[in-house]
Amino acid sequence: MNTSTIENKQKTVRAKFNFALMNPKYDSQKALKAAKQEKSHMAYLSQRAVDYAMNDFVFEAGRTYDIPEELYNELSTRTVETYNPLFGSFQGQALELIKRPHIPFVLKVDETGNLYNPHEHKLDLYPPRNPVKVEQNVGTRNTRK
Amino acid sequence: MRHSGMQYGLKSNPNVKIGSGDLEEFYLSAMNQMGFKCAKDVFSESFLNPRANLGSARSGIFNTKASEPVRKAQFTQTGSGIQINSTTVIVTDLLREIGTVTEVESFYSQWVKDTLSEAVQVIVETINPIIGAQQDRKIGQPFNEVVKVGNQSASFTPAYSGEKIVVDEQDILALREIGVNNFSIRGIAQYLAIWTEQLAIRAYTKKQILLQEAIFQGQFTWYNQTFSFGVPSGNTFVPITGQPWATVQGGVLQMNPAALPLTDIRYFISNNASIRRLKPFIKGLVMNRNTHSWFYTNPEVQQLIQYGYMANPDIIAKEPRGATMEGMIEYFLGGDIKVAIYVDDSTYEADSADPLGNAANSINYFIPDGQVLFVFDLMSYGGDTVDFVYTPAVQNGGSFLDARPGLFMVMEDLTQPGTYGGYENPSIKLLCGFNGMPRVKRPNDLFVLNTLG
Repeated sequence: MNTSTIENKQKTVRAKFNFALMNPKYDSQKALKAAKQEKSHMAYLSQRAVDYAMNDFVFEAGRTYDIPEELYNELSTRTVETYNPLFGSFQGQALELIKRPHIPFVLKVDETGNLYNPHEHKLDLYPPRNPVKVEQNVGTRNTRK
Repeated sequence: MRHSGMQYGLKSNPNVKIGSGDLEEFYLSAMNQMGFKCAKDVFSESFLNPRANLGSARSGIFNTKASEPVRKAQFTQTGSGIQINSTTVIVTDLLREIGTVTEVESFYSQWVKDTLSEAVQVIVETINPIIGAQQDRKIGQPFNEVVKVGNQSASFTPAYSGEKIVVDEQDILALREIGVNNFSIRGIAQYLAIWTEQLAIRAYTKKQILLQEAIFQGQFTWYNQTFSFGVPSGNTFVPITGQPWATVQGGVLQMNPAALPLTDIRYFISNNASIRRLKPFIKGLVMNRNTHSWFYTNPEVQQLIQYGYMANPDIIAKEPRGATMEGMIEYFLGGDIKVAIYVDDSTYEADSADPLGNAANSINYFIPDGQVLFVFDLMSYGGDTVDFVYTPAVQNGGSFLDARPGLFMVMEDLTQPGTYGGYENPSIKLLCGFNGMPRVKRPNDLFVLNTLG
């Protein structure tokens, strides 16, 4: 069994991206290396244009891709807190409606590529808030009390 | 005028009105009349060089070049005034501590329009987007019919916000004018101006916090009721590299060298499908100073400046202002996209009852850390994405028959006979507030890049 056969048999997962992700294969340093090597900023621009023009430069949000299982495993636990798409006044509504949903970064989809709808999936869209609050990088004034 | 509709007047005598619409102007002039200096004056020429303005009797108070008087008497700091003892005392300075500053150039006050509504319920009607392309027609056959463009509407109702300061008989009688050396002048007029400013700045802060919630959370809360503007979940962007622009190191956020902020911005402006239709209208990116410093000090940006932008004198020569961040972004994006980077420095100092839950005395940006807002010029399509609506307030206007929208600041004079204070319990109430709400009129066009996400 040669190497290419092993690569071909790499396990992939069909996943829908809810947020855009740059292909981890993209080397952001390539353009800079070209610029240094050629001592020309045109080399930087050209290499960067070539990089961006790759078909698989980015996994676009809302589209389905077959991605390596390792990448899927990396992303599967990642969620992003987003806007609540429901319009209206939430007076007297369930608390979970009021909160901003945590949308999974990627979702496994079936062969037909069933679209993701947060209200049809039993997902933990409203996990409890992380009690550890990161201090904002802002100053605090010493006050005389 | 930014804050039209504001009234400062005597409730007992509606004919007396100070300032027709601009409280800021009112208190600036009031402060100046009383020898106060406001933030605007701090770095003025007359302040730095008081001798050039010897005609003003006040300039001596603020003469920073004068030598500091030698303090031989016991140094005592008091919370409320000067202790009288046997030593001579002189008041040389009247300073103002800086907490929340109403920054005239702040994003919300410059870019977010105020709308004055005569009714309590406010409706936005939106014509649905025009999409699609004409279909082929068989010659001699009926034309294909197109589904007519419809419209939709959204209704908004206001939140209510207000505070008061009660000045009792003791205050009226006992307070002295501070900052002068005659300790027998009663200072109630001066204090009314100070408290007016306090209420007004707190009201503006509340308004800007409401706007922050609307823009960056897509909802605002009023007395545990939440109103969501229905911004689609997909309108939150996160860095496409998966690398946040800043990471927590030692308890605070520090720039992440592995992030690629230019690649992120370039992707969302140039390639992202949901923002593509708005590309002709893009006007700028708004971020706070922390986010900007993570952006500017990032190696990717520094490398672009070094090898791409600064290495090309032709590009800089074309820029009338020399090398700028805008020029660099434009150069990086290519084509004719002009994107302004707007760095908002306006902050407020939180008290112990902060609506956003910030710690007391923490100084917080009105634009949250790590958030980058995409701003579009959509006036040709009816109006911008976000505005702030003032609905009528009974307190605003001459009488209840004439309730007007806007931020109101009223002084209720309860020292007059016949008022419910009257001669027995004379007092003055300062009331400041507004009825109104932030409004995301175009939820589909509100895009925020959460660089920490």
